[in-house]
Amino acid sequence: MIESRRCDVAIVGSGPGGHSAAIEAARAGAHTILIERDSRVGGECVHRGTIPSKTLHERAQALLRTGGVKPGERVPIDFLMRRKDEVVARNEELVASQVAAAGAEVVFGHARFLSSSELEVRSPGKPTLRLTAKNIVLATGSRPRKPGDLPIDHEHVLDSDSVLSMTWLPESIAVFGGGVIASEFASIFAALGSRVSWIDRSPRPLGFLDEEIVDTFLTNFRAMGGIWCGGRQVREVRWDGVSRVITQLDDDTRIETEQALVALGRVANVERLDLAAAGLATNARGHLEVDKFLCTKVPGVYAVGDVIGPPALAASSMDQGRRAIRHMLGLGTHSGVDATPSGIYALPEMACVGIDEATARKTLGGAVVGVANFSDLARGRINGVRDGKLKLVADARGERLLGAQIVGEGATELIHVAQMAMIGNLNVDTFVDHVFNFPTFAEAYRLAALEILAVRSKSLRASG
Amino acid sequence: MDSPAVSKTPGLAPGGVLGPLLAAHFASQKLDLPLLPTYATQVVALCSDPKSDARTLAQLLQRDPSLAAHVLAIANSAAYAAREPIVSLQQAIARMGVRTLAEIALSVAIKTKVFRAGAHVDRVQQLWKHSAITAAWAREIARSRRRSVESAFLCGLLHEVGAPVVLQAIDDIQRKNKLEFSRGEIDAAIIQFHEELGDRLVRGWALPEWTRAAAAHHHAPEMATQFSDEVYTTHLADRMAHFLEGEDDLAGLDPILSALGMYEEDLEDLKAQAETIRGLAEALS
Repeated sequence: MIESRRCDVAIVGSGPGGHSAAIEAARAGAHTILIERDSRVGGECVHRGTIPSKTLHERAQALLRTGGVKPGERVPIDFLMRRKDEVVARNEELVASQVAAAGAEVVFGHARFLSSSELEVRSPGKPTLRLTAKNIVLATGSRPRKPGDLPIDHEHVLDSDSVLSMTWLPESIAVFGGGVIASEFASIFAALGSRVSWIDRSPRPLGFLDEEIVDTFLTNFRAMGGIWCGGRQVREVRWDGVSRVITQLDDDTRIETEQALVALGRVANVERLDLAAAGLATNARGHLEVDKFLCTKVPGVYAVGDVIGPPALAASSMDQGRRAIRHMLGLGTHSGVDATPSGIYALPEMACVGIDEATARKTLGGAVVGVANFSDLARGRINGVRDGKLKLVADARGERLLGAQIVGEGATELIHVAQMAMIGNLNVDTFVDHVFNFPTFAEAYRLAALEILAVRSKSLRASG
Repeated sequence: MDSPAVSKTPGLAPGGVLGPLLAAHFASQKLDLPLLPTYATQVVALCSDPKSDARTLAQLLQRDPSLAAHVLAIANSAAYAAREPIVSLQQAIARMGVRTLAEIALSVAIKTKVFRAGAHVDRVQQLWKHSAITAAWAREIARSRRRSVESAFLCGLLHEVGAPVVLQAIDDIQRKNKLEFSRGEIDAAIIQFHEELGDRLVRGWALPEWTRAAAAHHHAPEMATQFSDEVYTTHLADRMAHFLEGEDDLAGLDPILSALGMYEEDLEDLKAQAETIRGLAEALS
């Protein structure tokens, strides 16, 4: 049996990009249908990505605040997982209620294109839905990449999805990958007391981040007992059939661990969508290409979130979802200042907005930088924070704020001060001319800005 | 559709005296989860042989529900003073080492009651084979959904753990009262008691909570208030095991697939692994 329906906007996928698009479209009065393949709304973000891993991060951070795991102590991870399940359930309810309050309808089922304006939605035991939509937004997300040479069995060798349903904490774990997800789990496991061997072919992890920030993070990781094996190739990974995962590296290093985690990127969920029926195809990296308004090459079909590739962050996906709808419906968009922050929920946290020092010097011909160490802050000393720093990057004149990078407790919250300053086009002096609460980590902005002002004064004196 | 041993739909009422006798037995007695004589012999032989292969012992632990349940209960007992709850067989092997587990398994094999009545041994043998196949399917279902397979595997292995407890009690009652019960009466008694007793046993032995949910609700997963993912996985794995045994056509699975976020094509992908699972079943025969 086939049921036919029409709507203004059909959105495929209810993750951050999809549900924010649905809310925006429904609020604007468009008849909106949000299609979700899983049995629950929220997508990977709520169920297997952002929310669960951040909940684990918070529990590990709480452990660190109380002195960390004592020698010989074992952390029962089922407690952590149960807390994670509660948070996931609450967030699922939250997304569902926000979508419903906006007036969007949710349909559960698997969608595929019949043409550029028609979708077929199938769900076990329900009539097939044939949906004709004036506009379609693809927000189908991504899943962990499965490299062919690593034997991911979700039992001994896990990926970033299955690791979130583990029921016991391994005493030792090998983590493969040098990106955001690998850095988060490597540091969380180290904080929980696991002996972590973190392996990647790059000499440093998080290659897109400021080196000073990454160095501070690595120092912390090593202080928790973690071992960074950078610049190495994995020759072989195998389960010994009893109790160990054996990792053989190209320099003949042999690492034995109880489990392993593969976090070597993600792939877009585009299979079974019948993209060709809409006249669409993926690029060489498996992503859908879009223009600055998130339009694909097919008029009326938009794509947002992980399916279009980097930055593939929950926050940027939400922003993309909203922007796609606003363009589609002819509504205004925001100022256009690129000030989407990136947050890495590792231990310690890292966050950045705008450009870093190296990029500024390379692309703009110069930069003035100010750095504040958390250990120099009253709040840092109160909290017993040893490492942590905030770095402000200003233009060559030492006036306009170009970016900020932070490593340390609360970095993912603290970055929003810099974000707002950039959106408001404030200059660096603002951090000195006004006060923050005392004692707080935000004081780091003032200290870093003072460094920039000092350089600026020196330059002015030098130039006469 | 359920196993003939634990079917809920054969229309058999627990008539006669067996139901009340069992109820009284379970109210007053400690629950016995006996070992099968064949497994007990294998455990003794393997554990007594210093040359035995660690892998073989690890595999044996993972195919016998009774041995697995006993070993997990002892690993969590005060005697071994684990620094964390032992919630999986792999964790037990990693933490305690195969040799320590071999000692535990040997002690279990020597001290634990062994099934005596021939007819019941066949029945339990069949149940255990079904449980091992269910565990294998559960592992593949979890794998296909990118969930950790360990909890799914253990739920599958232990989901019918209540049924042999009922059979052992029937055997005890028959011997004590010199009574004979028909196959129909025994089937009805298993239907009536096995989920409740599985729940009681898993709880009493402090086995992981998710295995308790699977033992208690695997026939009616919608009744589970916790660990519904594990319970639905166990239900589907149980059905897949019966499918492999030619006892289930997998009709009416839509609500189960929906609950697991699966589609017909996912089920077909799973079915494609039937030969591998069948190989396991044959190895257990």
